[in-house]
Amino acid sequence: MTKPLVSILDGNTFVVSDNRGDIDPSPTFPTGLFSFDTRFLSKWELTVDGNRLNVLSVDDLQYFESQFFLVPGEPTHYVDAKLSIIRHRTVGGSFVEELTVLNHEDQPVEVTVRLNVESDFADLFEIKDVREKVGGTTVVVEEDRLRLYYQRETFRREAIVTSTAPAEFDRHGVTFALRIGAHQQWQTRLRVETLVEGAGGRDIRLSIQRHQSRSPEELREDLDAWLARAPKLSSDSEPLTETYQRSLIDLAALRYAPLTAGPPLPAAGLPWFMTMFGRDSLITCLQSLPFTPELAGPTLRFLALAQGVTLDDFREREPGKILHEVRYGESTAFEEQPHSPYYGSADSTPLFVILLDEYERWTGDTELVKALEHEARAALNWIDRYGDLMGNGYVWFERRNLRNGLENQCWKDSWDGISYSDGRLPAFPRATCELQGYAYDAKMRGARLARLFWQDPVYAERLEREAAELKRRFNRDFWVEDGEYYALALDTEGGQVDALSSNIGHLLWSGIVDDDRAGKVAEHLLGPRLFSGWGVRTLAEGEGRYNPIGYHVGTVWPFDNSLIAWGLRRYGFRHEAGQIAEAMIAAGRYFGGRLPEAFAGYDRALTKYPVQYPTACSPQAWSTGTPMLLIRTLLGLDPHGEHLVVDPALPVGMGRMELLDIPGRWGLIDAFGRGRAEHSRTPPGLME
Amino acid sequence: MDPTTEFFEALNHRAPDPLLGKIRGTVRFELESGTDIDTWLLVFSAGSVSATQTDRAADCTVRTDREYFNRIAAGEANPFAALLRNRLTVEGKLFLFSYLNRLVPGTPGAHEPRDWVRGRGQR
Repeated sequence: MTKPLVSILDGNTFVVSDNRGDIDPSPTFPTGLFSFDTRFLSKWELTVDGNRLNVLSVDDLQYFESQFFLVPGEPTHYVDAKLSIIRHRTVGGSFVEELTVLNHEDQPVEVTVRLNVESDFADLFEIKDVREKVGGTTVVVEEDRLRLYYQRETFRREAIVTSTAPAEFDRHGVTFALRIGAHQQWQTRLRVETLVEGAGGRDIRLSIQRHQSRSPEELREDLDAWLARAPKLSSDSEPLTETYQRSLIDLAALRYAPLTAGPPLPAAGLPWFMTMFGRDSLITCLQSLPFTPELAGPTLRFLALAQGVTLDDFREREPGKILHEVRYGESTAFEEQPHSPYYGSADSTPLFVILLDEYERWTGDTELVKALEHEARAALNWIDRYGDLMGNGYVWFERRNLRNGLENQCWKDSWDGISYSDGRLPAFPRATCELQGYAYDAKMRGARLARLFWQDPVYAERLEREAAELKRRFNRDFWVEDGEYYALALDTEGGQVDALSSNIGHLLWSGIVDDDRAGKVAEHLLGPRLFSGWGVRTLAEGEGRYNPIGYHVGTVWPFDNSLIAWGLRRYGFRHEAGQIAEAMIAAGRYFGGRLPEAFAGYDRALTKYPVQYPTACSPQAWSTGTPMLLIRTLLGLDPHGEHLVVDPALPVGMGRMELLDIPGRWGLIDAFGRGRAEHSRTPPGLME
Repeated sequence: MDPTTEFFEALNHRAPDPLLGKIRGTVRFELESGTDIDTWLLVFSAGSVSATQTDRAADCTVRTDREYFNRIAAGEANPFAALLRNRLTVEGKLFLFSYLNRLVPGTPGAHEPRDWVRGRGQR
């Protein structure tokens, strides 16, 4: 039986173990100590007198700290309660485990405590598909430490294990031969340092930035300050308060500092995506702007710094393009994987302009908007020049990296993510509908920036004209007459890839939907084929490839739903937006307030609770941002000039909601909302 | 002239680049070939960049062998991958090193995306 996994993390250093605190090599899920996409420990197994331990309880103290209470003996055997063992671990740059053995007897006891230690130095990309390593691993036993290092040409990664109490190190681990007095205890502090070798044999992170291992105390202070800066939510809805608190903490946990930038940025998700993803980071920043605006500026700066300037087929790089993914592991270092960085997404570039504008609207930071003028123009230019592969005014994608590039360079990036209603897959290139929405929004927002901050009204007018043309064309070409919704994509022949999908909700957010069609779109989104009761499915029931547990073809994605709710609100569908928010908040209850990356698309009446997608990442940045965007949507928060407009529309039964100290260009503002039960002018079910 | 010299010399004839407008700082390159070390100094200032064979300390020092830098200068090797691989080392301000990506040419033979799409039939 698989034991539940326990994770702690600090930036892109994280530890995943079983609930005893042990790490055993697993090919299916990345257990181990990871840093910079490399597994530094693949085995970390504690025994007492040769026996594995049995867990009494696990305390998840903080995102960077956990504690395991253990006793000797497997569960099937007699549990010997004469000894107990506490493993208290933290991760903050390095991994520290404080091991305490308590003797409960009234006489001394002699025990042998041992940790088996191994490292396979696997690249995160090798975990599911274990291959023979090209380089070699060497184990060096020194008097006071165990060093394991991996070397391939000049590439070197090293794990160094030390102990504060006297220890006997050998090639496979460390042993403590103990004699513990009656009712006494013994303790040691084990530390595992991870070394990513750079200049002069020192850690690459040390020689180029202020990277330092942070102590648990510093991490605790940092978390307290982060929470203190965020707006305070008080609400009659306990699940809402719970998921908001959880989200704030998880978002703090997911912050990481890439090599080049100082302030932290949101990484995409534990365990597979603890790195910078253009799309995920941009959307997370959009969701969290009213709550934690400090993430957006550094994210924009970092993405601008890495913006493409030249062409590269392997990395799918083009001038003006915003990156998709950065990695730091061996396969990236040896250019076997393209993530140095990889640019295979067609949406991150328009999303970059969208965030830049939304960021200014909230913060009033005109300096950044001016500083990034050329990057924003290059991004807008990319839309027309490189994004428009067919030269017909739409954004398309087709990979040029045939070795390991992504086929679908939109958020539904699994191979079968884009299909016709009958299940066929279209040829390439493909122009998915939400990309056109983002392009439209980017042009409209770019026009605002050009007029107000770049002193270029001519450019502003041009962008607005192009946006209007795009909207007209889009409503002509993408609208599926029979079904009365927008096609998922266009194919190369100009034909409609006619599956009914959640993507149409993004169109509302972008504003590309003609007003007289928005009602139909809302109806579909909340209709039985798309709405499961827990949220909007990625693909409608009845479509050829619909599968309630298919990654992008039937599951419900919280982040997707948050953008849909925002879009519904934009077109005045307050009730429908509230319905989605309510479903998400209710679903969150089943995950302790932590919305996963995705859950199954089964009908709510069928399962009674939302079924988590088997290998979903958690925490996942844009799922973490979801409750925040939903709160923004419910309270109807929107900056207008120097003011914040509050226009609440809360569903029935949600009661009172107060959000205090919302930061922005106005200083700090409070917002209140209340869902009354009757005597309302608004449609049934919706109160304000 | 090898690609390295060509690359640095060409920087002195570059038109002012708005994308470099905000950068100020110096980068020292130490390129080994055999027992010799060639040094180049890049100076970023107000949108322009200059390169000279000056031997002095800088905000950021990049070290690798000349042969490998030839590949970077020709767009064949990726500077960030080289850093991760420890084939090239950087000390000091890494963000200055990042601007190297904006100066080196694209990959030789890379396709214009529209040409790539049009050329599908031939592949």
